[in-house]
Amino acid sequence: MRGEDRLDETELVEQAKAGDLDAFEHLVVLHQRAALQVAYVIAGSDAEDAAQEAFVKAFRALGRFRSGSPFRPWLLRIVANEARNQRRGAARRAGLALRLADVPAGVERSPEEAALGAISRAELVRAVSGLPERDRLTLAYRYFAGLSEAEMATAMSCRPGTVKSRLTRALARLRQALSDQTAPQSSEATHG
Amino acid sequence: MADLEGALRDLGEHLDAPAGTHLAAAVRHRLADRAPAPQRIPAPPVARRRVVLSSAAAFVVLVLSVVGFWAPAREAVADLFGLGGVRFSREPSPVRPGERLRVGRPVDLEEARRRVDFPLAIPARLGSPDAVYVDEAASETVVSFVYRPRPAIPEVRSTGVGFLVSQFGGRVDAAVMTKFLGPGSTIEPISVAGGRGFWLPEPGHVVMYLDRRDEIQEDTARLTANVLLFERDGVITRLESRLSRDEMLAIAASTG
Repeated sequence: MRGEDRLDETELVEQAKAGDLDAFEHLVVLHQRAALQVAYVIAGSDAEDAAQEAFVKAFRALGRFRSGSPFRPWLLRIVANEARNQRRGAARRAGLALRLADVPAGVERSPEEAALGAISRAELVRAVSGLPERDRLTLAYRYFAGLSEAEMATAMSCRPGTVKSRLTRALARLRQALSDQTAPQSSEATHG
Repeated sequence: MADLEGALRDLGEHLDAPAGTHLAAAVRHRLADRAPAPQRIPAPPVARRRVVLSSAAAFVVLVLSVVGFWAPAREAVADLFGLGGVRFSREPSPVRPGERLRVGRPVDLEEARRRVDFPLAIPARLGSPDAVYVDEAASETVVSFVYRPRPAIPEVRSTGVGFLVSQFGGRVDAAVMTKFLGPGSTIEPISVAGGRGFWLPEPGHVVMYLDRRDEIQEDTARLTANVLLFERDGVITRLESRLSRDEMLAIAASTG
């Protein structure tokens, strides 16, 4: 986010705190993509309901938001809680199958995807889906919503050092999941 | 697997997370009306269950079907019948695409042609635009062609837009472009249909160019997306979308 946007955001938050719905709607637009991505890695198809509920709760909780601090990590913590609430019981135990958005027809692997080397998006999304919820959330905060480690500490209510170790663990488990996916295929190729 | 972190950032852009097209409006409805919770309406948008509940509900359904897919009318009807908080989602956005992109005022193509002193060029691979805008506030008049998302053109974030083409007089200069490149942005000089151009993968949002008085102008890409920029005969064309470099190049090459 550029500096001037941050200034605008501080003003928007102050206006929204004073009850200005236009200002809050602007904040929703600014942050909805990150909110939906974070909600999606926890609640899957219930992500939009979770995000909607989270924004409503965030507005009502604005009085507790510390002016001048980054808005996104504070908001995403509410989003993550709501996403967990949406995904209770059987659906939660059944696991989550994250999916890729539609790709252009006839394009199996885009040039940029091919440039990623051994990891295709399809493999990666399967591996992320199979991670524990806390790892998915950690990765989503960092790589989908673009939070810094300091902002993640706010969103996760933990110390920056803990963020580092959670990130390291999540990435290690993801690497392991990716190698588990490719290992059987290599074996088949060898024998088949 | 060397750049797992890069692959994860890329994945974030391609997840099938909801677009949230009506999220801001739905949140606003709920806050304005103090409705207790989101109302779920399965597709098709108006739940059959409501039709049999009462004649009033049946009338709502009738009016909704008459006004069709025009969102402002739908929301007005929702308000009229106290249905604030009702979520209408997933159908293509019916309002003129690009209205929130700060691309000026909507015009028809003929009006746009009259507003600039260079021939407008529409990419043949995209066909006629879904909306045309003219922005006369900047140093150079900018004409923008907006395209809705299609199966082969994914929506950019939650904008209701799949592809944006902007044209204006000026020239690109490699030194200027790279000197003012924003943090985290990358730029690749590229030849486009015989013209000089640059590929700025997301997040290369700030674009510097020289206007026809050779003064440096700063412009911000309207979509948070990939940008392909090229100059031909003193006219700059800027393409913005989520498509890959090669797909954007093919579309640029069809701009004649």
